[in-house]
Amino acid sequence: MKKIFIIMLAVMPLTAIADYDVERIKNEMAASELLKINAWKLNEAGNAWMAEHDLPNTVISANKATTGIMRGVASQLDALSAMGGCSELGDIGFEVKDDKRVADLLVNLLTTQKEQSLTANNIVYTAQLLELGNQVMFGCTLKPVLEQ
Amino acid sequence: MYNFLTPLTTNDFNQKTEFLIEDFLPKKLITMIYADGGMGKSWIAFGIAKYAAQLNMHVIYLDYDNPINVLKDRGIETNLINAHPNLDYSHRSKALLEPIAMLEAFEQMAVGDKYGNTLFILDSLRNFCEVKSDVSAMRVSEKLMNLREAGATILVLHHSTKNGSNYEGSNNLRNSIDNMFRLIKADAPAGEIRWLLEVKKERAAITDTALSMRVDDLSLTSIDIETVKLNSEEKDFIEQVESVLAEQGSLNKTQLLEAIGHKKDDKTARDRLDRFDGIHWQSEKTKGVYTYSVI
Repeated sequence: MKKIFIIMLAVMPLTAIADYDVERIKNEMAASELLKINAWKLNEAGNAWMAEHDLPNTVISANKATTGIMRGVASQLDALSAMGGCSELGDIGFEVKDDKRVADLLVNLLTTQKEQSLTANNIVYTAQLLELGNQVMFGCTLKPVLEQ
Repeated sequence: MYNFLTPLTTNDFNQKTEFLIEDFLPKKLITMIYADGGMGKSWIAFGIAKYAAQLNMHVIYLDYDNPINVLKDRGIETNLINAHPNLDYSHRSKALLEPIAMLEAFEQMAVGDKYGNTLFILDSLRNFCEVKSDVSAMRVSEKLMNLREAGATILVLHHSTKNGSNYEGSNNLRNSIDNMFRLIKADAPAGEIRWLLEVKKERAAITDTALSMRVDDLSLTSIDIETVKLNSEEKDFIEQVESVLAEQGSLNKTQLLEAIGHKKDDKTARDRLDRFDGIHWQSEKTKGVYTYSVI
């Protein structure tokens, strides 16, 4: 019985029912100190939001199919900061605090420089480094599984 | 005296307009191509993207319009995305951000001549803003203008009104777009697409242009504008020949000219048969006699 209980505790974070709920995700992002979001602004079509925030060189948007953060990276400090933001987005998506899977994924991204993704609880979390000309951008998204 | 105005200098005025495609697509300006659905807006953009990539421009194609299976059918993966490492193709299905947010991300990096050798292609505008809303159109226009000021060459694909005579949406778009073309698809031989691009607004020395693209490799070439401009007489002539050939099968030149009411020595009609040969019909020469049939 004790063993079963320990296994349940170990597996619980992985089986948390997160699902992609844009309202929940937006609210938790707005509450995050790391993301420094002041407000979400609805677009003219009424189908997407852009975050008003205090992060430099960063764009954050959300809609029913994707929530994403993209940050221009010009230094190691930028990369670390972008990693922090993306780690926070992953944690919010999967509803797991300091999710080791997300941290490992981001480390893998930096090591391999290749797109990394993780699916759990009907949410796909993806992180990538985009090299656009002479600009490197660090980005991550949450999407519902069905939208893939 | 008013230094804060950072006055323009002679150097600022010495910049000459460079063209990516002569007389058609100026660099460092915003160009819109609009047309009704089915005219081949994305096709021409694929051709332009490939052309620019071959010239070592960095191409950023923001595609929020085409389904993946359409791209696959058109060979875009092979001929464009995988063929050119200097081309970044951002598709809706994998986009990190909302379309307008993607533009904002690029805008935030737009300093100095950051995008001096970069071609942005927006496919298509209505995914980036509410085109009928002045505020929304102005918002996207501002972002495009900021990218332009950082040296970007920008091609915007857009839809026309139902009758095809004008672009769809706010007048603010016209004010901020530098050059505008109406795209008209013309007749072309199999495996090729031909277009006439009519100038609708110009800030650079652009002219009406005709382009042709091979669909198997997306190679783009300028063609004689007269080949895509048909007058009503020529259209009637083509219809008559196609109709006769469809009914009667193969005919030699004399039979064909007579069947459509022309004398066999009618030079204009003979020239037209030659001009549209390979496009609307095909001919075969056997023992000095030309035989025509449908393609």
